[in-house]
Amino acid sequence: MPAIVRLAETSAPKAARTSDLPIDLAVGGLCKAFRGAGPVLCDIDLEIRRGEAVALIGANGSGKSTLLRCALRLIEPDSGSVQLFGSDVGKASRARLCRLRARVGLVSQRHNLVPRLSVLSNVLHGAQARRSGPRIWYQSLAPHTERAEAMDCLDRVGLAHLAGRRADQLSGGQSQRVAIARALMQAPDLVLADEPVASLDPAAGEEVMRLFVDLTRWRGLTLVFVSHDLDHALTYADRVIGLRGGRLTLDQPAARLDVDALRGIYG
Amino acid sequence: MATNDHVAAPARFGRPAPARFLAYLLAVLFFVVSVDGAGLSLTDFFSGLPHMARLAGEMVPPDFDRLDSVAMALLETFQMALVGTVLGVLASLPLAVAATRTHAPHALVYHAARTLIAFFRTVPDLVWALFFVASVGLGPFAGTLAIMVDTIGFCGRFFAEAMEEVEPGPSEALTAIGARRLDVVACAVLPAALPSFINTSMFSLEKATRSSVVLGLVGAGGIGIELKVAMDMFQYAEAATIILTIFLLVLGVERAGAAVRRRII
Repeated sequence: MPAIVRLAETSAPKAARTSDLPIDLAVGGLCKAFRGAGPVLCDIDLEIRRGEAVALIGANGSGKSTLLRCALRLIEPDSGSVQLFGSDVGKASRARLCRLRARVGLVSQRHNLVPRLSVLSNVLHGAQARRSGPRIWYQSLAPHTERAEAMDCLDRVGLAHLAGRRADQLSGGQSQRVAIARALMQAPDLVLADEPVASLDPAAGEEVMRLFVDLTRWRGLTLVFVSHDLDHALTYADRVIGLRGGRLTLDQPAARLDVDALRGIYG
Repeated sequence: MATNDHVAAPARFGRPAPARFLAYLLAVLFFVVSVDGAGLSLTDFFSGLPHMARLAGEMVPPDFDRLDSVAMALLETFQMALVGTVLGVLASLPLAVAATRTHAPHALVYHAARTLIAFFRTVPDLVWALFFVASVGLGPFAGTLAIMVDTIGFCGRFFAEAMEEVEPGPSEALTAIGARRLDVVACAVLPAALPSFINTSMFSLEKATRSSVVLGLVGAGGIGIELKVAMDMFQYAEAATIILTIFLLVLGVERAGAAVRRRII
């Protein structure tokens, strides 16, 4: 893939990480229960610093996705606090919450593109983190600079040639790459990825995951990704956090872990 | 391997619970009473058959002498339907957004929009026509306004339901990146609901075309008044021409609507 080759050539070395780096995401005593399903998250405490790549692992129903959604206040936690970039998400006004969310890219297992719109329009939507209004609703109305930026983001994921195609005519892997391009267009500081390659076949999943991690590192972004692929967790993350039954049961540097140690989380 | 040798098949019909049985019984009794209330009479029907035959006979052959003025009235009828529908569809869009539980800016706005749409929908278009004839006078403008209000009631409800049924993923993705409510609706909700909007709008145009014929009967413009005059003056052959042209217009709009739906959706 030409885009990936070009990326590898331009990738910057990973920045040194110390405990002095600012905390992008801090969660304290977070609890969440759903009616009829019991507690999903129980007293979660964690901090994620600028530039870290963190893998979040755990069995189905262990609370991984709920944790990411609570971090953006897409669902309200029952108790505890979430701080994004030093600001309390729970106490943020609507406008402040929009500004905080604008700094966080969310890539889901389902790409969540708008099916009837073009690939370029979908990527352009990432700019809604920075500005509002009809000029970034559809590519045909977009200012030249935003269009060029969106094309550049598509180029980064190797799909510039599909800019005019409708999103519902893409394969699963292509759709997920467009979702990544939309996240790049957003120019976030922190990226939360909820099983970004779970719906792809192994080869496409590997390719998309490598591209995704390369791009976030190239831009020096903080990355939290949920994965059931333990090799991905060990290969692409600096640190692995494990959830079991809604409780945080593992939080260690990836270098100190192996696949057998991680399998214990699922036992 | 089959293991259910001793398991009896379920009964073909379950025994209804007493309350449900009572409800069925009451419904049937009410229908029987309603037959009497509706004035259904086989005697009157059979005694009226010769008159129907005579009327139908007087309609054949249709009288095409005034075809040009009938055609102009028919054109006016369709213009009322078209303009009333387009304006109604445009007006119903923001009202429908306010009437969605997921995108209304406030619960009060949601309930107000729902109530207004329900009011527009439940009052019949003929009543709206009477109201507008009394307000703005006789003529097609009153009919166009009546169609517009009726369209708002019809489209407002179905547009809102279409937007509520849209797959929530894209909306949530845009919300998660800090997009404003209006941006989320414009970028994620409206494009996804567009096929349903087109479908509803085309049905609305077909409905408005049929309505606009009747609105003329109360003086709200269109071909309805021509039909009323022809029937009142016992000019059944001319009435047959008018009915024939109305049939062709409604059929043409329905066929065109079906073609648009097939092509766009």
